[in-house]
Amino acid sequence: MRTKEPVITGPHLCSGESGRRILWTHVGALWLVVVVSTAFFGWSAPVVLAGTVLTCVAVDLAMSRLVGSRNPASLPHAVFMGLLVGLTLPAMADTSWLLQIGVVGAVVASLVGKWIFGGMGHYVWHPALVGILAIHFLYPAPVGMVEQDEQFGTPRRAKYLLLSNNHLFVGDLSKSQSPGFYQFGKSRSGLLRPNSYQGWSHSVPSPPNQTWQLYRPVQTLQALAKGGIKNEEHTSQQGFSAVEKALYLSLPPLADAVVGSAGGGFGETSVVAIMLGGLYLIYRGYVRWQLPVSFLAAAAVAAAVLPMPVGSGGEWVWFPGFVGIGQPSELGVLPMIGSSHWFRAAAVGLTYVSFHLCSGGLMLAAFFLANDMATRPTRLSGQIIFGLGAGALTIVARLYGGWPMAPLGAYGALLVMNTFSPLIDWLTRTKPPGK
Amino acid sequence: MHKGFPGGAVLPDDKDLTEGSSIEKIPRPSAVQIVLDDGTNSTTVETTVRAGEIVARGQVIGLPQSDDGVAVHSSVSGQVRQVAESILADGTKKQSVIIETDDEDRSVLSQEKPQWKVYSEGLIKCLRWAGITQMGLAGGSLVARIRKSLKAGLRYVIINGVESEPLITSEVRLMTEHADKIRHGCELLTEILGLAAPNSKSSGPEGLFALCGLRQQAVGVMRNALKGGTFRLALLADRYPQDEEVLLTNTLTNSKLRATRDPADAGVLVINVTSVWALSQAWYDGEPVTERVITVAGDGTENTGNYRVPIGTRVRDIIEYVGPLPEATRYVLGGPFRGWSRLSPEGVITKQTTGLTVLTQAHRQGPEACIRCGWCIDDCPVGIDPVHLYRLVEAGRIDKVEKAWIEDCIECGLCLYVCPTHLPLLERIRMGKWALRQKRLTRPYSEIRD
Repeated sequence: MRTKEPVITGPHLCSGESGRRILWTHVGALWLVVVVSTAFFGWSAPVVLAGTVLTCVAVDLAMSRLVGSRNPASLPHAVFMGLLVGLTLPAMADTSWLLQIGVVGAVVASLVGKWIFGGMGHYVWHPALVGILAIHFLYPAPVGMVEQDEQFGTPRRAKYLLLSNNHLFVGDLSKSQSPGFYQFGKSRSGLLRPNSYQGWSHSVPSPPNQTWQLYRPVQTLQALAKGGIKNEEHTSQQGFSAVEKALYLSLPPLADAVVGSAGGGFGETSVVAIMLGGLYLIYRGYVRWQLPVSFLAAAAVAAAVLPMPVGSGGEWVWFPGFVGIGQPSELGVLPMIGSSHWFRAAAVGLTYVSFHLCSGGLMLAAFFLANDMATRPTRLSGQIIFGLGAGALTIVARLYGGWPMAPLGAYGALLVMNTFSPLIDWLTRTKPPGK
Repeated sequence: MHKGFPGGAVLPDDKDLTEGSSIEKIPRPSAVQIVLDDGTNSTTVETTVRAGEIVARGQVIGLPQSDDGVAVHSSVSGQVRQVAESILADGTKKQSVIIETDDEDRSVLSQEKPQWKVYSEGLIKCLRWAGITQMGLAGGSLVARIRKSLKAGLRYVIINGVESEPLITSEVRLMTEHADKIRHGCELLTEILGLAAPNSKSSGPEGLFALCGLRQQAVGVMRNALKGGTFRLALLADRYPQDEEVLLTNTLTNSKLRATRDPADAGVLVINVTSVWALSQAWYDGEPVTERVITVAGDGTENTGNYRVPIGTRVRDIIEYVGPLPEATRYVLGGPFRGWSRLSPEGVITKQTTGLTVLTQAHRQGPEACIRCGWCIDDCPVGIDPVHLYRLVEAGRIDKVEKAWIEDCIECGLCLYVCPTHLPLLERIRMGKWALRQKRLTRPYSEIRD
């Protein structure tokens, strides 16, 4: 005897979430990053982003048709991947050249990163990261940090542009000017060079030049870690340690790095915009706060603790996060607890750590790339392990990594951790109570 | 912060829609269909009536065949039309008695008012006479639970008034309006089972009255009612599915029972509030179970509320009384999570039906590919991996599902609720459980031996 009509089992209600909604929200969370990148880097940002997004979508539609997959979440996923590939490209003057790089990266991301594994939810490595990795192999000179000049910190080809205050949207890129050393304030006037970049808010180049060319802060940090900044060179009567020299003379003001008017990828520079988007995703419940927090915390601790080689004499700075002002010695000295040295240490050591957090792709990786649902571990404990590992690996790659780990930085660390994500899942598997 | 358990979810349960509406009696239905179920789910019930016989309200129409079974009573006065096998809402077949009601409303209750002795065997006799089972979602035999827990050494008696199923407020309402009866039931249990008073040094089983801390009206009423008694009020977090017996036991007694185990085997007796209410009525008033309170909820009806209906009332009659909406397409017996539904109002109210949810549409869309969000794993109250089980069952790897703890699934349905791709996770887990049972039945002797 059969029942005439089907019996429907529970639950009869649904939470109303869908894959489409989740991924469109991810795309929406990036809008501020896109706007800020357009504001700082001019029209080349939306052009390149449109190129990568359209490429990803086209490849995705073609592959969906070919495979016969009809997943409605695949389209917003392709848009998101295209945006991420575009946002990690370095901001450069040559838009058409950059567009070509971006399209190649997007094709690799969508084809190799996503569809070879079987589309959404099946890939092992983050598709956008696979695209970025391919770009670093195919175009090492423009996107990586290779072939530096003899002079410290001046890459031969990898120059990045930042529009000046007056020409926020339509700056003339052909009339750009390479700045001298940066400096923090006017008090150290001995360090001032003519035409120095003093931060976005009060620095306008002289009329014939309308834009600044800036280097990525992470490149300076890497030059520091490779011993590129020597202790011996004193620029004033006061002796400077290598860390201090890097901070005072070669890095933009920290406020600029936070707002985003520093050199770097289109979407990498603005910490504020990335954080707002990431916080919105956390608020919506699509991202758990523990993952970005553990990522950033591990990176901060690693930056504060891991030693750096300084100079050619085999000298090291131990615990660079704790070095103080005016240490003329070759070694950074751990501050004594209870002395005023702590405050002075905060000025140098913590600024160094903050620069590590605010530069490169670390913020974008922590808030948008690490949280890809298919490549992160599923359980909370696994996600914390994943974040800690990725954060520590990022700093290790920056300080000690060779090519391609050093230029990839946070992206390379995430690719490595993606590989271990199934293992972390297996290690953190839960058992039912009483078993 | 109230106590809770790992996993689970805080749902938008919309209980305020019906929490304030007092229990209403619906007019006598023209006919009732009483399922001959003694609560044990394994033995059959012997019918004592034949077609054409005149029965009165409270008259025994089915006698249990096992020690743990309970009697079945007629819930109305009228004439037996037929005794036939019928299909229930969950698709199972059971003998049931269809009685056409008359206007006389004869009752046998005034004629006999039995007396029981105040010890455990007397309690069991009362339960068997009055037909009291576990009158909640879990169902099953209360007598068997008492016997098992006494045998294992009773440590805790937990009265389950948590009711975490969304939309359903029948037990909250019952506690608010019939607190004194529930108090009498509690006092009776104290006396018979020898519960120790709180904060006393005397050894004895502990009594706990579990409530959701968010249902403030019911909490206030029960706090007053339980004052001075042995039952301690335990307020729990508003997390679904806190009212599952194993989770309730694990939360309140800090133990770690597997979901496959009966808490009674560990000396924990979990009794539903409705059963306590029925016990109080049977013991003091001599009334067997002929009615229960259900919540009519959902977007398919206008008059949502709590109703007191005779056991065996057909869903059709209730829908007619509360006013049907033409858009109503699904009639769920029970809550929207653990209830079973048909597309037409065919079901009947049994002793364990807590509510009737009428829905206008299927809220689930077709399944898409899994995007590995991990929400089902996060929210699983027993910590298993539903999507892994789904993949195993889809691939036919029944040999692996046991190691993936498929038997621990309590079928709460939370994985399916949170799934953004609407995968039929729970359906596949049920299929896997069934396939595992079949495989065990046909296992060769050599495998069973070791």
